[in-house]
Order: sequence, then C-alpha cells, then structure tokens
Amino acid sequence: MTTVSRGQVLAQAWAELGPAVAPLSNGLGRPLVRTEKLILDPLVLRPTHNPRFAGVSVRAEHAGELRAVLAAAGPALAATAGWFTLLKKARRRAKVTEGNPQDLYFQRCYELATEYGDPGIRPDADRIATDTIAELHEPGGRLTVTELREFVRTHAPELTALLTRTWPAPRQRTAPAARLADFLATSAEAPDAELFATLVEGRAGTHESAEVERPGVALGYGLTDHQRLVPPALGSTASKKQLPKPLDRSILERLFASFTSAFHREAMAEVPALVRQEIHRCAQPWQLAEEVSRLVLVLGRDATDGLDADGPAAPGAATRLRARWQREAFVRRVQRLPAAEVPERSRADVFGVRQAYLRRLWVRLHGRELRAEEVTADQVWDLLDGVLRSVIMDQRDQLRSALSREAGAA
Amino acid sequence: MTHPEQTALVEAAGALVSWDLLGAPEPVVEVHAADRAAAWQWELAEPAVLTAVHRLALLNWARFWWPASALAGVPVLHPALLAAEHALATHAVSHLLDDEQATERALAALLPLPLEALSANENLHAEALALAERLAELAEDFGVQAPAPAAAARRDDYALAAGGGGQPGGLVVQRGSAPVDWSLVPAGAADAVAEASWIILRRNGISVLEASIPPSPGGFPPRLAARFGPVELDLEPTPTGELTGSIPLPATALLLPADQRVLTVYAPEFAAPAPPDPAAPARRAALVGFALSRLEDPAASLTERAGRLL
Repeated sequence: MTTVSRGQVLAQAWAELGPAVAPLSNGLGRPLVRTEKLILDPLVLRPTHNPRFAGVSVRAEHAGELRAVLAAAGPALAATAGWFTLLKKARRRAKVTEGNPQDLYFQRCYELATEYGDPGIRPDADRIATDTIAELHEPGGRLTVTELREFVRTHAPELTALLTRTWPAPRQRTAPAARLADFLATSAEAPDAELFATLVEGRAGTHESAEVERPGVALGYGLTDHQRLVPPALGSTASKKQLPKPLDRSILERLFASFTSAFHREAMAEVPALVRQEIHRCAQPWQLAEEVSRLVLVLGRDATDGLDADGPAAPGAATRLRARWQREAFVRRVQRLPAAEVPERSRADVFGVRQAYLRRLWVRLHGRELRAEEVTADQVWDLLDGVLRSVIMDQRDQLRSALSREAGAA
Repeated sequence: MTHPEQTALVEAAGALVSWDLLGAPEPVVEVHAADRAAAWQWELAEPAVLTAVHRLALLNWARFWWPASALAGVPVLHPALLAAEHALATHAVSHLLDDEQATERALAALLPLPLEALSANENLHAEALALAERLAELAEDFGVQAPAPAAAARRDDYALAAGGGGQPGGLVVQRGSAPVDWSLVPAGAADAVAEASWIILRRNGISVLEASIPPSPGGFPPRLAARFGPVELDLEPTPTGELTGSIPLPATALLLPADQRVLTVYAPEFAAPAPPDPAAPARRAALVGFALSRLEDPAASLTERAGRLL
C-alpha cells in the first residue's frame, strides 16, 4: 500500500488555489494552523466522516480525491478569504480590539461564503461585514459573566443548599482497572479503541478516584492546597489572574475560567443549567462529570508518574512524555533560560512539572465537558502530549518574565 | 547535539531542526515523533522553506546568544527590530512549529520600532518601513496592537567606562582576570568579551578581594555575583556602569592553589557558578567572529545589518 503525506497533498492542493486564499495562509503560502483547524478539518475535509482523509498520511488512491475535494471547495475558500479581509476592515472601523480575529471570524467567514458567495460581487458586502462584526462583538461574553455573577448572587441560598446536599456524591464500589498501562503503551501509535471503551465501561477512572479521597493525595497531584478535599464554595468573585488550584475553585470560578472566548461560549449551556451542572460535577469522582474525562485524567496521571525521575519509564506514552521533558532541558539551555536556580517564588510553578501537568489536564477535561466535546481513544495521545507542551511553553514564559523582573529590580 | 551557544534551533512539530553555527551549513533534524514530523519534513527539500526555517533559527540564536561587546565591536542588536523580525519569521513557518501559539507569543514581545533612527540609511530605512507594514498587518490578523514606532533619537555611541579609576587603596598582593561564562549570566548581562578582573589587597592587616566587570553594552541592569575560592560576593553597579564588589578574605585564601584562584561571575537565581570550560574561549572567539560577519552580510537579518547604525 503506498501512502503520501497528507500535509504534502494538502499543501499542493492549497497552492493550486492561488493568491485568492492568501489571507488564510502564512508567509510561505501554506494554510495557517487555524485555517486547517477551524476551516479545512471541520468544514471541508471532515476526517471524522471521511476517515480516509484522517491521519498524517493518506493512501495514494485517496490523494487525488482529497485534492479534488479541496479544489471543489476552492471558490468557497476564496470567498471565505474575501470575507475575512472585509471583516477585518469592519473590525477596524468599529474599533474592536478584543479577541483573535482568526479564532473569532474564520468559521463565520466560511458560513458567509456559503450563504452569500464571493463578497466581491455583492454590493451589500460591506454592510453584511459590519453587521457580522456588530453581532459577533455584542457584549455576549461579558454579558455571560455578568449574568453568571447575577444568577449566583440572586440564587445563593438555593444554590448553597443544593451544594451542601450534593457534595460529595455517594460513591459506589468499582472494580480495579488493571489495563491502564496497556492502553498507554500503544496510545501514541495505535490507540486501542476497544480497550478504551472497556476501560470507560469498567469505570477505571472512578475506581482510581478512591485514592484522592485519601489525605494528601490530591495535594501531591497539585490539584488542591488542602490535605483533604474541601467542599467547593459557591463564590461571588473571580479574577482570571488569581485562580486557586482547580479543586479549590468556587463554582463561580470554575465556570468563569471557561468563559474566556466567545467562540467556545456558544457551545455551552445556558447559565442556570451550567451552574447546576457544575455543582453536580464537583460532587463526582475527580470532580468531573464524564467517565471518559476521569479515565483520561488517570491516564495522564500514570503517564507522568516519574516524568522527571531517572530510571526507565513505562513504554509508550510515558516514555514519549519523558523524552519530551528531557529534550526540554537542552532547549532551555539553547534559549539561555535560568537553569540551576529559580527564584523561590516561581520554583513550585516551574519545577512541579507533574503537578502543573495534572492541573492543566484537569482544566482541559473540564473545559471539554462544558463544551460537550467528547474524547475518543485516538485523541488521547494528542491531549496528553499537548498538555505537556503547553506546560513547557508556560514555564518558559514564566522563566523569561522572572528574568526581566530580576533585571527591572536591580 | 552541539553546544547550546552555537546552536541555532527551531522547535518543529515532532522534531528539532538545528544548525551548528560553527559547523556544516546543513541542518540537523532530530525527529522524535515521526508521525508529526511527516506532515512537514518533506518541505525542507524546498529551498524557500529551508531558508525560512534557517532564518528563524538564526534569529532565535541572536535573541539568546548574540555576543554584544564594546571591546570586540559587536553592537547590541536593537530589541524592537529583533522582536519584529522574529515575529514575522515565526509566522512564516508557523505551520510546522511545535507550538501552535508561537506567533501569538512572538507578537506579545513587540516593542516600538526605531524607524526614525534608521532614516540615516535610505536602504535600511525603506526595509524597516516595509517591515513595520507587514508587522502591522500580521498583528491585525492576530488581534494584537503593534506598538507605535518610537520617535526616539539614536542611542549614544557606546563608550567604555573608564576602567580602574585611580589606585586601589592598599598593597596589591595578587591580581588576575577571567572571562565571564556566557551560560552563567542572562543574555546581555555582561560584555561578551571583556574580562572580569580581581585584585587581592592587604589593607590594615586584612586581605580584601576586589572584583569588577566592565558595564554591559546593552545596559541590562543585571544582578551579578562572583565566587572566588571559598568566598562569594555581590557585584554592585557603580555610577560609571561598572559592576564591583569587595569582601574580606580569610588569610588562608592567599595560600589557595592557582586553579582555585579563579573568579567566576554568575547571576544568582539564573545559574550556579561552575568551573571554567576549557573549550569556551575558542568557541566564543569564533562566535564573536560569526556575529561580526553577520553585520556586513547582505543575507543577514535587517536587525543585524542595522546593528552598527542604531
């Protein structure tokens, strides 16, 4: 079976679309990461419906088809690019500076392209662009936070009662899950969907949650500052800069943390439902509502056990994550970042890599639950790897800002 | 892997692409996730892509290791030009980078561009204007406000602060000097070539160690310290910009074997003092030579070519 790199086919087919799609391309004329993520994958190629287009390589006989699909979408993509340019102009006119235009407008532009076609031949294109910007930047996101605060404030007695009644939910005994390691061993190259389903069904994540009920365990994972999990408060204020550890966040803070982008907000439930769901979620094992999320958290926990230790790591995911972390030491030296000593105040943030990892993984899983995004077996590795990557990038940013603070303070 | 100081690196998805600045002109590609690397690796065969990746790698090196030195005549690179070119170079190859947010991160570091200061040279000025324009467009695409260009005047010519400044008070018993290990201080914290000097004085029956290093050409106000044999001292800035410090020495320090009578300058909370690397002087001299050659190289970045002007 001959295969070709999907990226290569995509790049060639994209190049054939010509300068019309330049607003969706980078300096080398390749589709932007967001073009691929927000437009090509979900709207044009749709690999979940067209598994032959999924993966990093496609079979030779499907390459032509992939090219044809992209070529057929050419006019729509060119129109999308046209709308994007117009929307940026309208944004400038409206003096909007909030948010990343690619995140906010790409998918909308594709919709506009499908609905109205090429903006170049529509006399009312400017008006549509202006209206779209006005609609997209209605203070929706803000309103939701205000709405959220208002709802929690006015319903405080009732919600507090619900919280007290619910937390913690009674636990059922579950059977031990022995095959977590089996899944991790192959999750990167050939994820075993059947085994994943079995683990979910066997409630492996729930079973493993028994251990966080023991004093000090969740603390050791960096998920809380307490020896024992404390029932979450309802909360009345939240600030993005000073969020407590995930399991110490109030109901309001948990939801607030997810209200970061208008794009994601759309996929979430209405405020009253959201608050009640969150109260129930807190009472569940790992304070996550879905068994799949719990399982992935436990997989992340196991894959990072011994991340920064010596000695052999388990094969598969753990070995790969360890390799990434070890490579990071070299990259940091190439980037001339602090090595031996780190300011005391950021030491825990910077060197508690596994804690930072599990915190971030929990937050991602929580966010996916809120947006009702499922996690499939073949997404697990990307998720586990992506979390370490983002922890590493954040640590570097922290080290750099610690350096410039040092410079400023001297 | 080559020594970090001479490595121009790009972190691509699933692989590290690096050039040894003092070695072969071809990149070394170290793949660690074949599936992710497969999505773009074929592109390195295209000259335009290879050039763009190389460009980013070199700018990365310039950000971290550029050996600015008043003594060696290597000018400080203008941080705003560097940040601007780095953001554009990052975006050009964004599709093959490991960090999906690399462009945003690079844009967050933008500073006001010194367009006026570059007007002395028509070509460089035109290039800088084009750069500013492309940057503004890119910033807009990402919803970032590019800072308005600075109307600042040219930076003063670098002047070596007068060294020494009078006779030390006391009887000089021993003296010496030592290069500053680049990897023990943050970028720009010390002149890349100037040596730290030390003197042991006898004063009123006490031995005192005095150490000083010349000011950094970049004006980075570092917090530095030095270790000498068993003692450690902080180096404080003087009005001339020089960093100096002194500390009483135990009598036994005078009897230290020569290999321990070594001054090691380091930045606390950045690196721990380490013994000198015997390969460092040759490597660093070569890197200073490399940096000097970049100033005149038509293929180098605008930041490097404008180095002497700003």
